[in-house]
Amino acid sequence: MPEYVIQTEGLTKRFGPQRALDAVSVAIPPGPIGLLGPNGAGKSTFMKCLLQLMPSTSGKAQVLGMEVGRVGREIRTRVGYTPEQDCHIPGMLGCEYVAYCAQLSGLPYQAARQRAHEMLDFVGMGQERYRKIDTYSTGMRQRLKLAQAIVHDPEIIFLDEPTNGLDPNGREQILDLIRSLWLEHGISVVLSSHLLNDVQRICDQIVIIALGKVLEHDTIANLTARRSGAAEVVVARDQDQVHALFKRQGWQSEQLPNGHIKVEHASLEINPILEILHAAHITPLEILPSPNALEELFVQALNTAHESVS
Amino acid sequence: MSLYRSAYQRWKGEHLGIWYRRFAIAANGFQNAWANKWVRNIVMAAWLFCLVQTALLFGIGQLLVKDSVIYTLVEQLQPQLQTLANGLMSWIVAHPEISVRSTYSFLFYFFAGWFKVFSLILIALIIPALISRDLASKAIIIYSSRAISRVDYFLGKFMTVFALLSVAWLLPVCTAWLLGGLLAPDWSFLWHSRMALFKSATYITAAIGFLSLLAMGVSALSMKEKSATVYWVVLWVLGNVISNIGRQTEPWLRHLSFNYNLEQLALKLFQPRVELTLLQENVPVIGNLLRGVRVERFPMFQDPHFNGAVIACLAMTILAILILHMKVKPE
Repeated sequence: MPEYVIQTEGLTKRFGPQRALDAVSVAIPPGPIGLLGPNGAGKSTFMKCLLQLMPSTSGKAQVLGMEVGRVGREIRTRVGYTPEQDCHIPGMLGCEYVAYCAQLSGLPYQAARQRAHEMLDFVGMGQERYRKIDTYSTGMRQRLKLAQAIVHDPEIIFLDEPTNGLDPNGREQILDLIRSLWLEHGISVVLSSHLLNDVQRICDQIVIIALGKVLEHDTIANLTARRSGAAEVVVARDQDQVHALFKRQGWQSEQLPNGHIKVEHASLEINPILEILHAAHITPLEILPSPNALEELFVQALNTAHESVS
Repeated sequence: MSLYRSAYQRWKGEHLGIWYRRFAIAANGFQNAWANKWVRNIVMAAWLFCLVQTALLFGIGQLLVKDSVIYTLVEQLQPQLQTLANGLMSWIVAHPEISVRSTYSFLFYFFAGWFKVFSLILIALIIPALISRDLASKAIIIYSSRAISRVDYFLGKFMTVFALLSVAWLLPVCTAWLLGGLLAPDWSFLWHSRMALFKSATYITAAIGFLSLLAMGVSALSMKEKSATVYWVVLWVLGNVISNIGRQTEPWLRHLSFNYNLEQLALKLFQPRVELTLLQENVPVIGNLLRGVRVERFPMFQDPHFNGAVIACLAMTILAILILHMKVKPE
């Protein structure tokens, strides 16, 4: 496994005058990586350029240490992809479809069939695999997409909004499966999503993309640490007294609609808050350190990007 | 949902080469086409024609066997028909090489027209599932995300059509030739008819290759499956109409029909006019009768517009490739 699974340098993709990717330069080490950004940010375009589903306008890119544009087949042999939209072959049975995808990746006929069933078991599909894909629900199609993406045992998988249309239980299961691919088998995962929770749940690193640009690229721990100094305090009563205590310290605080008190205390620890409350004989029910740090960072990054454009 | 969840396991085998993947696409396409009842019926009809062709070749061979049923039947014919049959018999005996070759060539040429119709109908049936369906369902993205290029995808699809048309055209003709030769009184028929087979196989291979590419191009024109069939039938029928108009007006218009162009290639390869001249000059009775044939009344005895047909076929092929290049993209 190379040091970086994805490496780009000035990767640009233009659609006429519009820049879908604007000189994207990143170096992403192996692991679960989240591509986070609003709709139309350029996440899918970034993935498609890496998979050579669309040619980039300029710049360089490497996947698994191989240069994109030069060794298309070799890269795609070692890469799995679940597109955002449905793109199944109509009229095929679920198991036939996955086996066919395995054959397209070069697995021998018998092995392809066997592995297709193993992967369908893995993604939690039962007897419905013997039904035509046209009759599948959205959730089943998402599972099928994941099965076809991993059937040839790739080293890295690109997942474009893999939890769209899934119910909460299904979503949890799929995210667990995706997470296990890295933790138990060392398969790197690139998860593109606009759902922060999904990304936060399974990824170690995040690349925030908006307006075709990479706004942030770091580990979740580092990004969260940047927003430390904010916390939510939950108390059963004496909210006004708590506000007054915080104001006396020169900290900004506000009451949230859920009754929690948000306080910006400019410290990496929550001990100062605890000490003040303890001195005032107030027992907090809960103190949540930087509960929405990533979300706030995400919103802040987007606002900065929009401001720079305007 | 599954009652149990199996653990993910790494694949330790070897990935097979690119030709295996291309054949996988072709095999899948063939399987889908074969699932259509009408496709199977048309292929069956083609094989029935193969039996008819075999029976005719068998009958011609039996003319040389004095105690055969065919010979006896000929003896019981009207005097005029008997004279014709006797003329043919004496010709086969005197010039077996020329006579067998000419007879087989005529038959292969005649049947090529019918087999071509079967092939065109087959294409109309399979054309929606060829490329249109992949474009409509966006399955083209799945192909493109695999370790195959667009050229591999096209090759796989090309092999699908080529294989199906071969089953409905090339194989029946080869089978008819083999059975006709094996059932002949003398196995030298196989040798004498080798050129007829070669011409036929060459023509069929070229025609199938051309039609396969054309079918792919038409299939890529539309993302609606039914539209692909409509486009194909319109191209076929409209081409024939324009070709007929061209006969009366501008001769180059005739080349707008792929059917006409294929007919010209067949004329060039089978050369029915040359065979007619051979008959006229070498067969005592039949030759005399055929001397009265006004060749200008029969298109099959006229000189083929070979160069025009080749240029038109090339232009159509390039157009089909251009359509494929422009239309079949993952995005």
